Amino acid sequence: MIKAQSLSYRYESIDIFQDLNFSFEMNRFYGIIGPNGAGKSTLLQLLAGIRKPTKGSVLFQDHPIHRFPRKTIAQKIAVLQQGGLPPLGFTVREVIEMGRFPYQSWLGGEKTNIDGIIEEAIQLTGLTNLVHRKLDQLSGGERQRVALAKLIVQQPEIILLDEPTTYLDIGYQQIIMDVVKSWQQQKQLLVIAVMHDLNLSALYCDHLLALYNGQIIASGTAEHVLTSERLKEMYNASTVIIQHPVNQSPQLLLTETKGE
Amino acid sequence: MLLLFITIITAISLGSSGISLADVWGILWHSLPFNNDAQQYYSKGEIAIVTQVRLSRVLLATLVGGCLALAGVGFQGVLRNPLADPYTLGVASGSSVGAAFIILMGYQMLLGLWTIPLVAFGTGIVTLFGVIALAKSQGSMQIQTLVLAGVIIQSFLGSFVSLMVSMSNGVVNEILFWIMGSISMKSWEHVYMLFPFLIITLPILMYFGQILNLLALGEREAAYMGVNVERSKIIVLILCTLLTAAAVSVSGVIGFVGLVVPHLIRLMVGPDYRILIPLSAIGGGIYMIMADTIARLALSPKELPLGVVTALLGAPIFAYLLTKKNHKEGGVQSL
Repeated sequence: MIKAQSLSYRYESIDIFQDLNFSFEMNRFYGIIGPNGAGKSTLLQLLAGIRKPTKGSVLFQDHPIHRFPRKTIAQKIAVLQQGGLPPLGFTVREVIEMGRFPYQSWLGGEKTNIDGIIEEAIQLTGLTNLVHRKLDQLSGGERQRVALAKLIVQQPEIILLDEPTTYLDIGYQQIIMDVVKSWQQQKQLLVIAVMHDLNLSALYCDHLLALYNGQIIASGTAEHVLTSERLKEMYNASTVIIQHPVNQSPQLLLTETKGE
Repeated sequence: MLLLFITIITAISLGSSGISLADVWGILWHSLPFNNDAQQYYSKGEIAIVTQVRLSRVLLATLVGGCLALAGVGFQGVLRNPLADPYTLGVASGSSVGAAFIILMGYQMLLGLWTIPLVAFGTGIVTLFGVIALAKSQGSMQIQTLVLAGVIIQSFLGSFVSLMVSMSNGVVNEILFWIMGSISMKSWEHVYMLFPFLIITLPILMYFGQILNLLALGEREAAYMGVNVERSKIIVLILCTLLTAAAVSVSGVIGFVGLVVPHLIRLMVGPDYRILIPLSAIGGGIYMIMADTIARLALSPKELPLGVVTALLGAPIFAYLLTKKNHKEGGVQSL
């Protein structure tokens, strides 16, 4: 569905990636992990087509993505950024409705009635009691849920998440990830999430990509990718991996670094 | 819209020549195209004062105010900066440099009435591209660098105007008056000149209303939602510069209209640019008529420069907005 083909990106004469090749398939939940500065967010921006690769290309439906008009891309690919939306004077409902922009004619209207779509998104994200509140009256976690509702209204086939749970407490982290996961499974979407929290990535992702030194150094299930040795190499962190008592996914614990 | 109409009528009715309210209304009524028999009832002098002097002046104030406020709301939307207005970008200064130069050299009439507007327009556009080029030297156009580039260019060009004023002898007054802003000594020709600018740009800017709303969420966010960010920014900036240059060529530099009017409208109706844009155009007209009426009457029969009045009215309002800083009501973010 979306494919990185010998993708290279250079920024201010530093190579961020060299010759990345990977094909993302529909109906899967991918997680991209890697240390700070590994270019995870940059990779998402390349996949979303708002940055141009230095070499190689991102293929969407077998065509270079930057050849598509922005509105066409936005009907297929939606992005949830980290940090959420700025505190503005718009109401929650107004912002969610903005998600329909890719479908609107130049007069700002649409042929189909969108009320149902918007109601569904509001219910899915649990924002029913907040719809008439203004964005600047909400907490960061609530604003991130508004951003997610706006994303749902955009009706994409591919969802890119850039560290969607950063700055959120564990309750909001769980809400965001649960909503995305159930939405992905229900509509058989492709999700590519840059994950900061490795335990969350093991819980929610079908497939992990480890990005380090401009290369994909590991790719596969969480059991395969998240090993103590690899985390030492990527993050220089000492960890033990244990099995989650309920769903058997690997979970990591930090250990003391002795004599280093 | 109704408020604008009432303001226009009131402003026409007020004046230093002592024509009664009823007579003003009578002259206007009898000057309508289908009812053109004013000469039967009123003296030629009275008719001339109402239709030639006052009506044209009030309409011109409406248009200048509308252009400046529209440019202001556009710049604020694109720059996502509540302090932006036609002057922050140096566009007005750019226009005034060209005009001051022409006046100093005595070429005002080289191409007739259109000489100063044309030159001011040209230098304003050049200034815009200069500012954009300066801001773009770091790759893609960042909000902060654009405002910074505007300030740099503005102070550079401002010193040029000052230099020209100090070099000239006889024409100092003319240039000074022009720099401080005034719409006296203008005629219907100027009304006809400004009108198309406003009428053509207003619907185009209204089309960009929703795009400006999306830009308020962040440039990258807007790009992810299908906005062609760089192209939209450039188009809105050029349109706003057109409006600024057109207004400045007629009235000189009149500050605070593009800054204050959109803020006042925002306090009343919220942050939605689809509503803000048309209402700012109307609000700018009302604001400017009131300011110009004060400029005409405050020290009558002497006249104040219009730019002085708008600054005297606008600066306290803006200071109030700044100190109030009501994030919840106004959407005045990141001050």
